[in-house]
Amino acid sequence: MLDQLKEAGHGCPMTTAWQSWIHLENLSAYHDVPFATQENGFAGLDTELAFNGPVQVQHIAQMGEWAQEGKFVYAGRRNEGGANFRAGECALFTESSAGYAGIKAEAEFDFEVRPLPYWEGVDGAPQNTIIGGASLWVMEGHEDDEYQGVAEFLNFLSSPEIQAKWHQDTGYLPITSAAAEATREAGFYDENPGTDVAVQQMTANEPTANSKGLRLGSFDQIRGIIDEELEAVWSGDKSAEEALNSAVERGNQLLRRFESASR
Amino acid sequence: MEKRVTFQGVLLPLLLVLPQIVVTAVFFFYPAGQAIWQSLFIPDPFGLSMRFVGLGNFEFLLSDPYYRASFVTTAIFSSLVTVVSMGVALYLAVLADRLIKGSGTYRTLLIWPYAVAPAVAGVLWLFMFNTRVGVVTWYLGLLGYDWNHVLNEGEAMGLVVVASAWGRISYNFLFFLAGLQAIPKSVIEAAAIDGARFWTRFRTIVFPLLSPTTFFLLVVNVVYAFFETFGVIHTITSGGPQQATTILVYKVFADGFVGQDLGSSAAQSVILLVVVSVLTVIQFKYIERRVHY
Repeated sequence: MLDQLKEAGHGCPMTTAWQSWIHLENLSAYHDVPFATQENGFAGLDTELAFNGPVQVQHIAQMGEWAQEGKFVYAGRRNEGGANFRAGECALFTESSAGYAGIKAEAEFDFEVRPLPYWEGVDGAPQNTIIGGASLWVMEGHEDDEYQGVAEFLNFLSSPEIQAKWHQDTGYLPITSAAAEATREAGFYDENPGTDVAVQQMTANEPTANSKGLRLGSFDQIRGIIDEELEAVWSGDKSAEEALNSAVERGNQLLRRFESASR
Repeated sequence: MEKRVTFQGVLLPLLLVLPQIVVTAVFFFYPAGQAIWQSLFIPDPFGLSMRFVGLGNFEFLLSDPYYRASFVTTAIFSSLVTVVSMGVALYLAVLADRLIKGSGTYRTLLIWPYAVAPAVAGVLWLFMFNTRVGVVTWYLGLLGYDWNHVLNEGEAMGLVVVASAWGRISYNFLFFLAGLQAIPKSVIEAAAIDGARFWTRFRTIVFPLLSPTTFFLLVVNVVYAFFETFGVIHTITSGGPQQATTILVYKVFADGFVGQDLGSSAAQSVILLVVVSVLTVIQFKYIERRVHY
């Protein structure tokens, strides 16, 4: 597909948003390989990064090759690629389902939503994908009636109607089955084909230790390190293996620092 | 002999400088003290507890080759921003100073960009140079040049330098223009009568007489480039590609406010503070000697 687009003279066969999240974190979960030891950090703070395994190295090496050949066009660390896709410049785009609303609103062409591709021949693929990571936190140390208010707010936010509306308007995943069911019953998925792809691929299988999510300290900085190292691959300065090894090594230093701070 | 006007007593002078002392204490000494204090701890991400590590944060930073490399990046970035913004401003000021008609309009237009916040300036330049939909990128493409600052380190540096220097040109322009207009016309006319051409006059009379302004701007611009440019970096490159535009102050911002590692961020601010203080001392010691007041 990318070959055909390139041969046809296409300037941007493929681009992506959130490269670390899609092409390393989800890649690992989807192929049921660890992103980090200790069940991706859930089992302990003494976790170490493990995304320099053969599956990840092979994938990043392939992407790097595509980047050199002009088949994969890197647009930036955040979701910059979205502008290129919505403008009709890029043919394929890997993005969070949360990008759906923007594409739907701006794209002046027909598009389809497909599940994330996976490599054949990897045992267990496709497993399931994982969420991006934004979450709400409630801190201790407030008055009881304040927590009453917090509870009411969280109840409101997670109620089926609000979640269903949120899910349908934005493309974000519904956080409860009731909201997903309400969306299905309302006929939303039939009217908007593709909007249930993200739900399906995330709930396709019972999650394993490799695919139930990530819990890593300083992860925002680690993503920054991953961005830097991946850029070295896309520009051809480093091989996939060198870059991922270096990202693991640099990230582990931050994990150790976090571990010592959290004792 | 210089004739000094002095106030009697201690109370009145103290009262008069009090507001400045209060402002400095609240907005400089207090936060700087806090930064030094925090730099000795590693707090947990929610700031609920802190663990004393002594100089551990500094050790962690200075043993990191990527952090050390960012000193070089910062030096290159700051020199370029200072030279570009001051050079262009001086050139424009010299031209505007010679104008007889319409100088007010030119001046107003040249001063405008100063009102644009760094982050907004960053977004403006990013739009123009966006690798696929940017106007400038498109024209460069017509000329056969493939602009790609998301992967090309030199281009990324160039873009953040231009975006940072742009707003600064206005500020420098104002000071240079005022400086130029304060130079007595009689001196310049005397040189002109002696047969000195414009650039000779500029080199031998105008530039030396302008040196107090130039020196002041040099100090202020270096401080600007070191401290106030993270908005531009954040909006345009986030420090990339790889680490090509990760300057010290951007790392302070990214580690502290995005990564919530306040211990490391505080230690970085302290290091930055020391670097800039040393630079300023050097400037006053060695460059100020060549300034004619």
